[in-house]
Amino acid sequence: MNRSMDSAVPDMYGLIDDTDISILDEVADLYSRVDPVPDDLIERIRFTVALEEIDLEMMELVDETALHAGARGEDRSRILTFAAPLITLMIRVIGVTDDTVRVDGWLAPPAAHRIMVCIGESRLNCTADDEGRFVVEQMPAGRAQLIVGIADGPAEPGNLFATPAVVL
Amino acid sequence: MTTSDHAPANGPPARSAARDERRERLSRLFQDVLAGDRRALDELIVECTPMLWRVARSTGLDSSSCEDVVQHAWLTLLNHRDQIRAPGALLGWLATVTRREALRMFTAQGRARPAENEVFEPLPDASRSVEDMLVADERRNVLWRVIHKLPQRCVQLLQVIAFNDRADYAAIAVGLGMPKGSIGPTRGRCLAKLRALLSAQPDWSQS
Repeated sequence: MNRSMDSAVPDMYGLIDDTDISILDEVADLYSRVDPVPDDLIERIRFTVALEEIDLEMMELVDETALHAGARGEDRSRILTFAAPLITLMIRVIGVTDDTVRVDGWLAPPAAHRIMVCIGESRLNCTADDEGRFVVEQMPAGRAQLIVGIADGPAEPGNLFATPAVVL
Repeated sequence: MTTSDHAPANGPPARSAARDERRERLSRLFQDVLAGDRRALDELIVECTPMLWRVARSTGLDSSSCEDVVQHAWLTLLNHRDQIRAPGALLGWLATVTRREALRMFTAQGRARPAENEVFEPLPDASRSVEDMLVADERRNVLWRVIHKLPQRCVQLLQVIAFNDRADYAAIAVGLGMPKGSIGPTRGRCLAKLRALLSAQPDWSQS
């Protein structure tokens, strides 16, 4: 399998022939099998990017209930309820450490909606289960905003809801 | 040996036409993005993410961090899109942001940055299972084993080039932190080495 310069053609950066090209095709095929782009990565990127681009429908904080103080850290525990005409989001926030909280969420009507938690510049993504439940095991305490993307809906106005920024 | 399904479908002229076409299409898509076309942005994301994934993964960073890295690159693009003067430079710009962020995460995780020529095990979290996965697939298995006999720089370059449809080597150069002028010669050397190693494999025949 000598490199045949007869069949090699120059491109911008040197000579490349048919065999090189077919080997590169096989390399691409190999890597897309052994280390593919994760299933939902492109969807997540679209979702994230769409948020930057369009106006979100704001949800309203309709109820806030402090859970009675009990075990250590629970003095920061409370339940917040947000609502928009089409969707309701309830979250329970529990202090895990002095600096972090756990968030358990329920969405109604229930479906595998997408959730993004924005904390300053950083983003946490998760997806609710079919019953509309989701958990963020640990996130920094502080000001955050939750964004909900309707399950299977394209990322466009009407399908995206944002809570006001609240201190969790 | 089943080689027929790996055989390239097109000859070089068709390929090079396809390459030019892709490059133009990316360029057009980006212009549409600048004009505020959200669907064009969607298409661009689908089109370019696989190559950015390889740029991120080729640094040796773990899979879930790479997801954040690639997502970060797209957000950065949105926030700085007015800084990209030539649409043709888009892919290179994205690749650079991806690599930089991947190296930053590396450092943040308390790991030393991979040196340019250092040989480290690529896909540290997957190598073992990959061999199991390919066990019934002789040809790909041979290629996988042989690729990892190459210097790390070759492994990085070839996997990224392979996903770029050879459309934009300048983009790859910056994405891999290599001097632009070295891409051509390095590519030539790496491909020649890979071909020599493959031809020494009894199980390999070039289709």
